[in-house]
Amino acid sequence: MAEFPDKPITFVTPYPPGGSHSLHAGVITTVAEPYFGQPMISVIRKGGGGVVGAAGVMKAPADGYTLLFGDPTINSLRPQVEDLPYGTDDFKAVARINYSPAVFVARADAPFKDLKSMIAYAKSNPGKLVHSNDNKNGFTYTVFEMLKFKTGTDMKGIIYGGGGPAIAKILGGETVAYAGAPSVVGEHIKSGKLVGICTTDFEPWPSLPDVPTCKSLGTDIIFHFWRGVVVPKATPEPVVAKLSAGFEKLVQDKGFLRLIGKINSRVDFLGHKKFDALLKKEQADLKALYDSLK
Amino acid sequence: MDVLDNLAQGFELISTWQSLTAALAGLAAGIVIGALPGLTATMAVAVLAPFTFFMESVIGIPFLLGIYKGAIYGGSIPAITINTPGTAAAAATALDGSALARQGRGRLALETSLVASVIADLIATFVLIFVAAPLAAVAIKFGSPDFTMLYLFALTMIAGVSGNSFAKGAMSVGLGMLMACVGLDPVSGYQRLTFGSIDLLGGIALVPLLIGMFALSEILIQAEKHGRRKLAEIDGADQGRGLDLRTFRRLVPTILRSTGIGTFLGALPGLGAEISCWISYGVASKRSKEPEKFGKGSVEGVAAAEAGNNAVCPAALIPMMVFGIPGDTITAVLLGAFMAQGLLPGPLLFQQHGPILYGFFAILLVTNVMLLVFGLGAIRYLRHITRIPPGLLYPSVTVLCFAGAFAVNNATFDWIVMVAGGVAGYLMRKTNVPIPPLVIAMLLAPGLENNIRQSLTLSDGSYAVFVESPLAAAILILTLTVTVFFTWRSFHLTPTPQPPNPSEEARDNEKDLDTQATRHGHRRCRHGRRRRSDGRVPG
Amino acid sequence: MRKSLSDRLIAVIALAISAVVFLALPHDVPGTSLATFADMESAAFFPMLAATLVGVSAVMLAVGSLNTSSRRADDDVDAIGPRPVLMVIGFCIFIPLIHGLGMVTASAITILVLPLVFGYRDYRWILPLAVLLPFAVYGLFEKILKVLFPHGAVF
Repeated sequence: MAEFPDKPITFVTPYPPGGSHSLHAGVITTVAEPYFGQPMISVIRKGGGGVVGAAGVMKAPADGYTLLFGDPTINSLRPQVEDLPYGTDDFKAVARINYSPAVFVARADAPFKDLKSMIAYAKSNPGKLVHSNDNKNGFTYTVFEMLKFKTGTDMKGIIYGGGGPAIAKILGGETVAYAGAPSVVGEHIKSGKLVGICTTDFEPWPSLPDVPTCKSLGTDIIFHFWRGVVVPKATPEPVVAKLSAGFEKLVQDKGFLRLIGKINSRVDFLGHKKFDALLKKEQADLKALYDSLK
Repeated sequence: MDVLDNLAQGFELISTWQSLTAALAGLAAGIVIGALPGLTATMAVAVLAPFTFFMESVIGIPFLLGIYKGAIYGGSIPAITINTPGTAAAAATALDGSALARQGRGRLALETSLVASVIADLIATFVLIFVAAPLAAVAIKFGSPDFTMLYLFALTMIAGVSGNSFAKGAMSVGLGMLMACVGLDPVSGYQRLTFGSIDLLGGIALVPLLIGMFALSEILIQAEKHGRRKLAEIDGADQGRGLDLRTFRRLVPTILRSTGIGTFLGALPGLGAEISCWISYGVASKRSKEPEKFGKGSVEGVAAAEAGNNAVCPAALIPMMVFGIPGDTITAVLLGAFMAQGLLPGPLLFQQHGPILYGFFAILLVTNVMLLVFGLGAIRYLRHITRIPPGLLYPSVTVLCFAGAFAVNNATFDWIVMVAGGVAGYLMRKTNVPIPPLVIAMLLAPGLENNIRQSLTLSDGSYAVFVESPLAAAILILTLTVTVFFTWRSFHLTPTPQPPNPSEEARDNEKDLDTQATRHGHRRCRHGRRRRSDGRVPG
Repeated sequence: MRKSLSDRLIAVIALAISAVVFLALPHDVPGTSLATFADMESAAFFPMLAATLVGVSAVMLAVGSLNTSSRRADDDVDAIGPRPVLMVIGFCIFIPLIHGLGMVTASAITILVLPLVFGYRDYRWILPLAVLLPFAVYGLFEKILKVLFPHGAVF
C-alpha cells in the first residue's frame, strides 16, 4: 500500500454552514494541503444537531481519509444521554485544535449584575429567571445545567435551536441571561448591551479580561467547548499519529494563525494522546453530572 | 449629510477595477449557480468563502456579495423558462412566470422578474443604508408568540393562494409539516417518524426533495408530452415582446408593496425570502384588479414574487450587521466571511469599520446596476432556452438535478429522496394538488414548532401568551379572517370549466372565458391544447 | 379518470397517511395518546397537528368532490402515460449506475438513453452533449465547488 495519504482527505463538519465549526473548517482545509501532501476537502453534513454527520463518519471506512470535526456535545455528552446510532467509544481522538469557554452574560437591565446577585435572584425567584438556550444537551444548555446543579437554583431555559436565535432573544428582551462563546458575546459586552457574569475556564479569557472566572467566584464550573478532529475507532494507530502530527504543524502555519486570529479564535493544540486522555475524563465527568441530575 | 458623505467615501473605496471585477465575476458566477437546479446561493457562498479569506476585504467581500445577489436572481431563470425552480423562493415566480413563458411571453416574464428584482433590491439597500439600526431595533423586539403567529399566517396564505382548492392546499401544507417532523427532534431527543432508518435520522433533506418535486416532476410531465417538436411549438412561439412602459407603470404599486413586505420580513432574524415571496404574492393577488389571472400568467404575480424575495437580500444583512445575528443560512455564511476579514459584525461594526462598510453598501448598489444591464442582455438569449428540443434539454436537466441533489449534503440517500419527490410531485400535478405549500410548509414547520414550544415554555404552558402580545393577536385575527375567506371561497366558488349555466358562478365563468383560462389553472389549459395538437384524447 | 374520483382517491391516500402517523407516534414518542393534543409542548403534538390537518382537509376534499359530482358535469384527469413510467425507471437505474460506474460515466449513459424516451434520436447533438456535459458537471462540482461524487469502477 502506498504511504498514507495518497488521496484527498475528507473533513466532515456536522453543522450547517455559517457556524463557528464550519468557519474553522474552512480555515483549516484551505491551509491543509502542504501539511498532509494531499488536499483536504471540507464537507458539510448537517442534520440532527450534528448526529447525522457523526453517524456518517462512524460508518465510513476506518482508513484515516474521513475525519470528523467534533465537539463535546456530539462526542461526549449526547451519545451518553440520548439514544443515538453511535457511542462515545466509536471514535478515536486525533487532535484538538482549540476550545472556547462559555461566558455567562446578562442583559444590562437585568435585576442582577454579577454571579452572586444572579444566584441570589434565582434563589428568591425560583423558575422566574429566564435564559436563552441553544439546543437540548448543547453547549449553553450544559453550562446552565451545571450552574443550576452547583448552586442549587431553578431557572427557566428556552431552547431556541441555535446560538444565533438564542442571542437574538436576549438582545430583544425575551430572556435575561445566556452563555456563549467569547467571540459571540464579546462585542455585546463591549458595547454595554450585555454584562459579563463569569467565564467557565481556569483563567479569564484574554479578550475579556474583566470577566472573572466562575471558579474564582466560588462556583466551580469549568467547561471547554473544544473543536477537535476524531476518526472512526478502527483507524490504525500509525495513521492517527501521522494525522495528529500533520495538524500539529498545520496549527503553526502563519496564514492559519492570521486567519484564526481574525475569526476571534486561537489555537490550543493537543496531540492524539493528550486529547484522548482529556476526552475520556470529560466523558466520565459529564456522565457523572448527568447521573446526579436524574 | 453624514450618511451621504460616508457613502461617497464608500464609492471611492470600491472604485478600483479589482473590486468591480470581483463583484462582476461574482455576479456572473452567481447567476449560473442560481440557475442550476440544486445549487443554492448558500452553498455557493459557503464553498467559495474560504477562498476570499486570503483576499483583501474590498475584493473578497464584493465577490461574495456578487454571488449572493446573482444566485438569488438566477433562480428565477429556470423557474420561468422551463418551470423548474431551483429554490423554494423561486417557486412563486415559477407559478406565473412559466405560465407566461408557455403563452409565448417568456421575455416579458424574464424582464419583469429582472426589473422587479432590481428595484426591490435597490430600495431595500437604501433602507439598509439609512435606517438599518432603527429597523433592527424594532425587529429584534419580535418575541416567540409573534413569530408563531407570523408563521401561521404565512402557511395559511400559501395554502390559500397557490392552488384553486383550499382543501388541497391545506392538505399539501399538512403533508409538508409532517415531512418536516421526520428525524431527531432536537428538543425532546426523540426520533419521530423515522421508522428505524438511520438515513432519516437527520430528517428529509429539503433541497433534494424540492428538486424532485419541482424539476423532476416537470421532466416527467414533459416526457409525457413527448415528441421531437420544440417546446415553443407546442405552446406557441415566444412573441418576443418585453416589458413596456405602460405595463411597468401598472406594476409599480405591486413592486413597492412587495418590497415593503420583503424588507420588513427580511429584517426579522430567521425569516427569509421563501416566506416573503409568498406573502407578497398572496397580498398582490388580493389587491390586484385581475386576481383571476394569478397562477395562469399574471405579470403582477411575477413582479410581486420577485420583488418580495429580492428585497429580503439586503434586508437580511440588517440584523447581521447591526447585531451580528444572521437572519438565514446565507447571511450566516457571509458573517463568517466578514469575520475572516477582521470585520466583526455587531454593535461596534459601524463605529470601527465605517468606511469599508459603506464601501460594501456601494457595491450592493453597483451590483444592482450591473445585474440590470447584464440581465437585459442575457434575456435576449435566455428566452430561447425554450427552443432547445426537449429530448436534449430534459436529459441534461436530469443530470444536473442528480449532481445538485448530491451536492447539498454529500449524501447518496438524497437521490432516493429526490426521485421519490419527483414521482410524488408528478402525481400531485396530475391531480392538481399544489406542490409549493408542501415545500414551504416543510421549510417553515420547524420554526413554527420551535416558536410554539418557546412561547409555551415562557408562559409556563398558558395559551394566553398567543394573544397577550398585541402584535401576535393582530396577526392571529388576520390569519383567521383569511382562513374563513379561503374556506368560504373553496365551497362557494368551486370552479367549473363548463360553459356558463345560470347559477351563481355565471359571472365567474364569464371572466374565465375572457381570459381564455379557467380557474382550474394553466395545467388544464395545457391539456386542452394538447388534445387539439395530438388529436388524441387522454384518459 | 373522473376528477371527482381522483379527488376521492387523494382523500383516501391522505387519510391513510394521517392514520399511519397516528399509529406510529406512540411508538416514537412514549406516552402519546389523543390527550397529547392538550399538551403543545410534547414532541408528538406537532406531528399530530399536521396529521390532523391532512385528515381534515382530506375529508373536506372528499365532501367537496361528492358535492361537485352531484351538481356539475364532471371532467377528466389524465391517466398516467407510459413515458413518465419509463423516465422513473430511468431515474431508478441511474442511482446504482452512479455507484457502480461513477458519476461521469453514468451521466453520459443517461444522456445517451433518456432522449429516446422523448422520441429524440438526433445523435449529432446527443453524442457531443453526452461527452461534454458530464465533464462540465465534473469540472464545476468537483474541481470548483469541491463536491466529491462517487467515482465507481470507471469514473
